[in-house]
Order: sequence, then structure tokens, then C-alpha cells
Amino acid sequence: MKRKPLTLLIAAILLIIFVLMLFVYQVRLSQVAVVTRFGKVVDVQTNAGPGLRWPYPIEQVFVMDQRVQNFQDNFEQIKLHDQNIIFVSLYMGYRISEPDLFFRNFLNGAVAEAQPALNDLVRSAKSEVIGRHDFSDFVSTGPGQMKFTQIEHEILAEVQKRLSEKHYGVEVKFLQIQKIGLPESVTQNVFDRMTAERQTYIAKIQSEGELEATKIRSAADSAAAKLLYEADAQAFTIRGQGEAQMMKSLEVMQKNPDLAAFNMQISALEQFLARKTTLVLDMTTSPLQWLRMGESANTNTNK
Amino acid sequence: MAADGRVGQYEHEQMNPQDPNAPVPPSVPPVPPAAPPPEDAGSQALADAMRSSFVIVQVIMVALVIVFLSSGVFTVGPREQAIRLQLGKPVNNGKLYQPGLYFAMPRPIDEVVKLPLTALISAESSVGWYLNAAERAAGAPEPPPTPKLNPANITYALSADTNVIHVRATAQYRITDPKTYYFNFTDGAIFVTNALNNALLQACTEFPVDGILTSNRAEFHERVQQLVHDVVAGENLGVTLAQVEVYASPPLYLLPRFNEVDQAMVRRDNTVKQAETYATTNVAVAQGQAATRVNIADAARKRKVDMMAAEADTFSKLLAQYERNPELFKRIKQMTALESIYTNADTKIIVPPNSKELRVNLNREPQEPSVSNIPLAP
Repeated sequence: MKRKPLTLLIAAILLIIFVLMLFVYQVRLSQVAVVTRFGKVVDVQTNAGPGLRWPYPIEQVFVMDQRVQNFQDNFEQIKLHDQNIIFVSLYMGYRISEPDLFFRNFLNGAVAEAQPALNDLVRSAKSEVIGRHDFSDFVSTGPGQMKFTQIEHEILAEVQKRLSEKHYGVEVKFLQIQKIGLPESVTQNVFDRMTAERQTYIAKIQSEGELEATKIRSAADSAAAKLLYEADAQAFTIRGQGEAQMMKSLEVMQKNPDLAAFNMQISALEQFLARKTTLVLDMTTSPLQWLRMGESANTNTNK
Repeated sequence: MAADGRVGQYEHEQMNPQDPNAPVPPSVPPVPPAAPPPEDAGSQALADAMRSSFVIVQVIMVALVIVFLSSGVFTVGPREQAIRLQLGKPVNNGKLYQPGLYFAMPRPIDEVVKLPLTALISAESSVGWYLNAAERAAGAPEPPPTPKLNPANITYALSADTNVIHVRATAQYRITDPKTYYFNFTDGAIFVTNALNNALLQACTEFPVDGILTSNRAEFHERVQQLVHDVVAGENLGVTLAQVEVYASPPLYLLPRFNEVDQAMVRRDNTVKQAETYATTNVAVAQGQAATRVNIADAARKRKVDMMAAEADTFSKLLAQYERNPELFKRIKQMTALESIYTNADTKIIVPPNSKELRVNLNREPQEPSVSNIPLAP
């Protein structure tokens, strides 16, 4: 008898849980739910929280993930406006913006069901937009010519336009070029061109180096020559200054130029013959002639 | 319980004495109660089994209720945050639970979503390189160089000068807004990877191949970083980029050609450096020579001036003596000078009288001559 209330309590709890499971559903954060009654959409719950429903098979609740989904389309070739061919793959982030539309278009509102339709739509938009551009719009050294981002925006606008026309209930958050490539045969031509460019580049580098080296050497020679002739000019000036200073001393010698000249000659002679001098003298040289005078006197006496 | 009327009767009779209003039983000797008929053993066992089963079921149910109620207790680890959803709706406007012990209602009423807060998450680009991330991690060898690339097998980027180049990037990022990261995106890591892919492709189309590999390498890296930052911030991914590393390589087939360019650059640098060395040396030598020339000129100037001053001084001193007897003065000065010259001469050769020929060997730099080694012709 004591166990009866507990049993009843448990039974009541189980009953409540059972009833809640039948009549209550919940939408988790980042989810949306579509409620159908006998297959017809009667309610859409976009806010997280609980909701009421009639039990199956009267009503059914389809919960969908409203987070941003990844989408990558196929890597396929597209003919450009200038007849070149390019391989492009896109990456896109999208989310369910209108759950009832999404549910109506795709079985049970499953994201996987939407992928093929989105793939067709994106591929079509991509081909149309990229086909309007030249190859130089994708890669170019000219800053004004490059339209990489602009092409992405154009494809995004085209995809959004088509999505709104199709009423898929999908909103594209962003779209980017994911992969890019050239046909295999074209890569061979590119490699040939790159090889030729390398050879040209090597020749250019070598000639640049030699030119620069020549310029440096020439500039150095010029600088050295300039230094020397400037030094010579300075030396010449200094010598001139010396000459001018010497003139003051010469004025003193004006009193007797003959003596001045004599003194300077004697000084010059002494300096000139100061070192490493070999003198070749004969007997007539003063004062050797004195020796000669004695010899002649002796000779005369002997005679 | 009353298997037959007698058992009930017996029970009733046993109870009557306790009832004061009950009629007094007749004074007849009590009839001993008839022994109950023996129960069926199978029924008894079944009843016992059912009673036991019911008890077990009750215990299990109580245990389940306890387990159910206590299943709401949860802990948030040191590198986690958590968000509690009540019937799917964030509690307290999405308040994040920090590390600790908490209680929540059991599922499906409450749901606790734990958000890992790793220190740094690494992401790698998935296009542009000749090996994918898994192959690189496994240490796979490089594919053989081929003169053309099949875009389905090997990915690459196109440079601004329409050349093919291999590039890849790695990013280190931190989840700074876990609620956004986990509840706004199905897979945030893939978004980061694709942001890297897109940034690499776009940056490559803005630089020539040599700029990417050598001359504008830093600018290229900065551009990739900037583009990744722009995409991540623009999409409000809830992460903060810590570091982006970028790698670039020419196509394997053209690697020798690019190496030749590198070697040519080294040779060019060497040539230029040699020229610079020559220039430095040459100018330094010229500076030295110039200074020497100026110094020599200055020394010569000084010497000349000093000499002339000395001459003037000597002149002033000797003028009076000279004017008294110029001839004698000259003679004396001449002889004095001769004495000095003769004395200081290294070699003195006196030609004998009547000599017809004199031969003297002269060197540019005369050796230490002596009178004996000079042949004299008779």
C-alpha cells in the first residue's frame, strides 16, 4: 500500500513525458522548423524554443539547419569572351532564409536535396558571367585591368537573382573563386614561354650586373681622378702662396743682387752635391792646381 | 483472495469479537476451523514471481527517475565554454558557462552544448600546391616533373603575368566568439580553409611570378594575410587570425630554370660587389694620393719659404763683409763650399795628368763605389 503513490507518481511523469513528446516539439538554436498538417505547411518557427503540434499523422514537424552551409561547385572549363578556356571552381556559403519555400522545393527540407539544384544554378550563372570576360580580367599586371573581385561579385549577383527567381528560399552569404586552372595543353605552352622568359631574364640579369659594375667602376675612377686633380690644383695654389711668401725675402736681397745670386748659387751647389756624389777632377781644378804648381816647380828645377 | 466462502466466513467470524455491536455468538463449543485446502503450487509461484517482478520494476523505475534527474549535471572543462539550451532556446540570452560544475534539466528539456576553446587551430589551404595537406603530412614524395599539368590532378595558381605557380598557406587562428563559430556555420574550419584558398588565388593574380618568388615576396605575403583577414572579418566567423604563413614555388618542371635565374642573380650580385670593392679601394687610394700631393706641396712651400728666409737672413749678415771686398768674399765662400762638397762626395776621382781617356761605369742607382773598382785608362 505504501508503494502506490510512488508508482502513481512515476506513471504520471511517464505520462507527462509521453504527452509532451506527442504534442510539443522544440527548435534548437540555429534551426528552423516547418509544421505541416496533412502535408500542408501551416506554421514556420524561426525562433529557438518549444512549439505545440498535433500528433502524427495529423501534423509533422520538419527541422532544418539554418547555419551557413558550405557549397563547392564542380571544377569545369568555361570559354571566355576572348575564346580562351579557363577552369574555375566556386565556393559559396548559403543559408536557408525562407524555410517554407525551401521545404516546398526540396524533399523534407533536406540540405542534401538542394545541392544538385544549387549546383545547376551556380554552374549556369558562373558560365554566363565568366563567359563575358576576357582572360586578362582574371590575371593582369595592370592594376586597372584586374577584375578578379568584380567577377566574383557579378557571379554572386547573378546567383542571387536566379535564386530569387526560383524561390528556393536560400540566401547566399558569400561567393568566392575557389580554384582556377588552364587546359593541360595550354600549360605546356605556358611552360615553354616561362622557359624562354627565364633565359631572357638570365641574360638581362647578367647584362644588368655588368652594366652596374661598369657604372660603379667608372664612377669610382671619375671620383679618384677628381680627387687627384683637385689635389693638384690645391698643391699648385699652395706653391703659389709659397712663391708669394718668398717674395718678401727677395725684397731684402734687392740691396745687393750680385751677392744674393752668389749666395744662392753656392747654396744650390752644396745641396745639389750633398749626397751620392762622384767627383771627377783633374789637376787644374781648384784647389788641386796647387799640387800641380809644386810639381812644375820641381820639374823646372830638375831641368 | 477469497478462494471460497469459508475463508471469508472465517475472517468475518474472527473479527466479530472486536465489534461490540455484533451479536454474541451462541454458546456452542467452537468448531475448529477447517484446514485450508492446499493452494496450487504453480499459482503460488506465479504470484510470488509477479510480486518480485513488480518490486524490481518499481526499483528500476525509481533508479531511472534518479538517473534521469541527475543526468542534467554537467561540467565545463578548462578549455571549454558551454551554452545551455532549454527546449532549444538559449538560457539567459545565450550566457556562456565558464569552467565549473552546473546543473541543468535533463534532456530533452535542457541541452548543454560544449564549445571547445582550443588554444590555436591550424588550417591549411587545399588548392594551389602539388601535394595536398594529407600527402604533405604523410611525407609523400613530390610528383615527377611533367611538361604540362592536368588541372584535375594538380592544382596551381595563375600569376599576374599569366604564369603558373604553386602556392599554399597555413593559418593559425583562435575561436574568440564560439557562439558565432559553432551556431552560425556548419563547419567553420572549412570556411577558414576556403578563405585561404581564395586569398592565395586572388593575391597571385596581382603579382608577377618573380615578384611572388623573390622581389615582392613580402608584399605578396602581406596581401594574402590582408585578404584572409578581410574574408574572415567580413563573414563574422567568430575567429581571430594569429598568423598566416605563405609558401610559393615554381612548377617542378621549371625548377631548374628558376634555379639558373637564382644563380645568375648571385653572379650579378658578385659582379656588383667586386665593382663596389674596386670603387672603395680606388677612391681610398686616390684620397690618399691627393692628401699626399697636397702635403708635399705644402711642405715644399714651407721649405722654400723657410729657405728663402734663411737666405735673406744670411744675406743681411754677410752684406757688410761682401761690400768691403767682394772678390775676397766670393773666393772665401767658394773655397768653403768646395771644401764641403769635396768632403761629402762619396767618390772622388782625380784624373792623372796626361791621361788620354777616362772610363767610368755609371749605374742608375750607383753602387757603393770605390776608387779601386773604377778602371782608369792610361
